[in-house]
Amino acid sequence: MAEQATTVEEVCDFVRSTQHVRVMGGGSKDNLSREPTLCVGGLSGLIEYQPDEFTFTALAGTPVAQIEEVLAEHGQYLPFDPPLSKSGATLGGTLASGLSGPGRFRYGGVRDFVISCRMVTGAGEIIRGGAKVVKNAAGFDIPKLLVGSLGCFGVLIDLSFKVFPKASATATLKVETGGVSAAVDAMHQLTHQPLDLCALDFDREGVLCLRVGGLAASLPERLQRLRTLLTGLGTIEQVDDDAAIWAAAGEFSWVPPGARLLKIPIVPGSIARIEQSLQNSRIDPPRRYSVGGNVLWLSWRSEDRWEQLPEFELGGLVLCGDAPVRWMGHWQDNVFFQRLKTIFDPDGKF
Amino acid sequence: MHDPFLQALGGIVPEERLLLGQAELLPYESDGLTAFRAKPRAVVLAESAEEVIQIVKTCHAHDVPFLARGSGTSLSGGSVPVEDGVVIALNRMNNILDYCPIFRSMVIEPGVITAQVTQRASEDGLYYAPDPSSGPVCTVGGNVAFNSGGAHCLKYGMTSNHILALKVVLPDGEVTTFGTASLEGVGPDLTGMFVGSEGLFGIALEITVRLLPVAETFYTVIAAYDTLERAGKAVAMLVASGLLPGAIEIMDRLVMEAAHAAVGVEYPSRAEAVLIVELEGPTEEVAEEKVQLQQILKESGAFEINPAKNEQERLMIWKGRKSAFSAAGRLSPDFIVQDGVVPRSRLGEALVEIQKISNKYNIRVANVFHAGDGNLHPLILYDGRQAGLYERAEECATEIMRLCIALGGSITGEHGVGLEKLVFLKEMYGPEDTLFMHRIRDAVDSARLANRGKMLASAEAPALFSHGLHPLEKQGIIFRN
Ligand SMILES: Cc1cc2nc3c(=O)[nH]c(=O)nc-3n(C[C@H](O)[C@H](O)[C@H](O)COP(=O)(O)OP(=O)(O)OC[C@H]3O[C@@H](n4cnc5c(N)ncnc54)[C@H](O)[C@@H]3O)c2cc1C
Repeated sequence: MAEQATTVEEVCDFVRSTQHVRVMGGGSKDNLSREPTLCVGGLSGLIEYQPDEFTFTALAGTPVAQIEEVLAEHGQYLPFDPPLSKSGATLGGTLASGLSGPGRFRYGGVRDFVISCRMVTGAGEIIRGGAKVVKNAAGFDIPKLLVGSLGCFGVLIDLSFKVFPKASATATLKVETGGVSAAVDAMHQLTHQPLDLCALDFDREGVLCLRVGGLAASLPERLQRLRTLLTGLGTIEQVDDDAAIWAAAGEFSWVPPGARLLKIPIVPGSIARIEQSLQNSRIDPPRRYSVGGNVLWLSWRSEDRWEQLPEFELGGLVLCGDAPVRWMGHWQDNVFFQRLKTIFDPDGKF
Repeated sequence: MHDPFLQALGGIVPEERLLLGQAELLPYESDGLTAFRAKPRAVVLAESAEEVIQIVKTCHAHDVPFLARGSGTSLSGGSVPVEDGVVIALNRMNNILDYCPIFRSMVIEPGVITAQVTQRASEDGLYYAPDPSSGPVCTVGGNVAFNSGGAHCLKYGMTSNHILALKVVLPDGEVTTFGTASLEGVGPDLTGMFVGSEGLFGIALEITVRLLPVAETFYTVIAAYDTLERAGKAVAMLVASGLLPGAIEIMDRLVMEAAHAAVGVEYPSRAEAVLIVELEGPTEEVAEEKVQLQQILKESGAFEINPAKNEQERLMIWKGRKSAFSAAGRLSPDFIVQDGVVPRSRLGEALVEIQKISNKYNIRVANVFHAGDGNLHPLILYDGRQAGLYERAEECATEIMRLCIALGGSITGEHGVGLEKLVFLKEMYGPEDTLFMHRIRDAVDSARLANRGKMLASAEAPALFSHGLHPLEKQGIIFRN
């Protein structure tokens, strides 16, 4: 049974008195928060939000959905589209897992919007990094270090983010390019243009999803221009419910129940090779390329051999499903990481 | 050469690239914070990553402090040598190693000049977003060390938001890499931690930057106000309105006069302050946004709104803005430049307080800000030849810095702590968090060799002041934001 913490003091006490600390927030990434010893879901709530400042501070266990709702009341949002918000993802869990959704394409990821944090280190001390202003070059950028750290440096207590005004209107075009390689070609034609696309994703059938956002009156013209650019690349359709399809993408609704879900960072140039290996192996896992070909979200069924992933040179974070590891990769061998770890977590609790 | 350490350096680079003579060392004694100097033991002009690694290893073996130097334009004393240490000059490492327009990224050596990244990418309709005013001379390595900014951070962030990967040599000579060319990663964001570490974590040897497509249309206006405070409030209104301009800048009367004298830009004659706002994006979008913008500017009390009618006029507006501080040399023989940040919603309040401080010390303060980010650059004008004025200007500067801390802001938005703000880091973060940063540094660099004495105060820090122009500013080659 995991201990439930609802105050900072409880977190400090727990860390000081326990040898093995594994934190769970909302549990939306079940493979990452497996066998937790400390649950911080109770450390929840918005601490400070000044709409005219476009920044907020919330406890780490606050559900992202709750924050998005408050922000939306003021026409604001977290531009990196935090994934799994409808499944209960918390702010701290999103940061610690280093997860950004399709909107990462336009203005940046969770790393680009976090501005300050408070945490409990392995020694049970409370430290703060960053500042609650949108620009700050003083001191080490501890908030950024924690992005993707999977709790290995400490327990997050609260986080401050900058946010942006939400586009008053958005729309999405779907283009059936016929296959991944055609989708990649189409993408390369688009990513150089000053189109201000909010998101660019495609699936294994080569269906390209392009999201545009801005002021309502100019949107139809922009869409028309985009259609012209896309002529000849495949059937184009404007989706009826723009918000719904991106929400579904953010919840990974295409992943079969129980299957493992991996986040695999890639460069667009490697997509052809990835597709080739998958084809040769005759495994055709459900997958989606996101953030303009910088992330592959891959679903890996339990009957497919795990060992094949490294053979395909594929590795990453295993968010969901029953997997033998939490991630595949060697970042823990990094000497800079190891030196930092001795300060944040001297006794190896995390 | 009997010194075994210098002998070892001589084994790494040829004689002509190991500077030891007094005259040769002189140009390396200072940086953009010209009043401050220290004598290095040697300067090594490195030409390759391998040389830098060997030099760092040698320094470590002989327990000699070192620092990297880009173009030496730091405004906070960051590139002032460590006394009797080694300066590793990186200007010659200025090759673009890999450029992938299709993937919008570029791998460069640290000595590449910032503006050259955009220059190279522009033929493909791309650019590198961070735009410090010193861009035509400063290096990307220096920008990485300081997490440098510029006028266009509002929408796209600072240097850190545009660095994808790094190859670095740690202070003991270990070489490691962070990140990849992908926008995303797995594991802690070590790249993000290295950027802004002011050289304390070692030297960046290879930098992978992210490029963006150049906006299709720009719409740039100058709006005139009868008080500085009103201009400050207009910024808060603009930010709150939900528009997301590429840049929002403020210049006050003094700065306008200086800029007018320097580059001939005309400003509305009765204006006590002007706001420069630049919208950027797809043509249709900008066309709609500019209607909103004009509406807000009118409501905020602007008595004149002058849009740039063409690209030439737009560039002129930016020339005036970017020349502003260098031009301040015309207002006063000496000045201190500050870099504090306040919450944007409290900008009006901060401006009133700065005016009060200026009155209290009877010292003129000229104001030019990255207003949209709440990043202030008050210029504290004084004449160093008059007895006591320098000390008074320093007190005035200190009070403004404390004001930023009190308003919940930061002591530096983009120039870094360096030597200049050593004592204030602790005031901003408090003793525990500052001590924690010391411990982090000691874990990475137990011998404290890399840029010793910068950012983290060792004992009682010396009081340091910036006054006067950088030599390159005097020649009109670079401008200060
Ligand atoms: C006129 C003028 C205008 C300016 N305008 C702006 C502005 O608009 N915005 C802004 O942010 N700054 C501005 N600056 C400040 C300065 O230009 C920046 O801080 C710039 O990033 C310094 O680059 P540099 O190459 O000159 O670095 P240097 O001054 O040579 O070095 C700066 C620091 O970086 C370290 N360093 C250098 N290279 C490396 C490396 N490869 N690895 C690790 N550490 C390294 C040095 O040790 C030093 O601590 C301005 C300065 C001047 C003089």
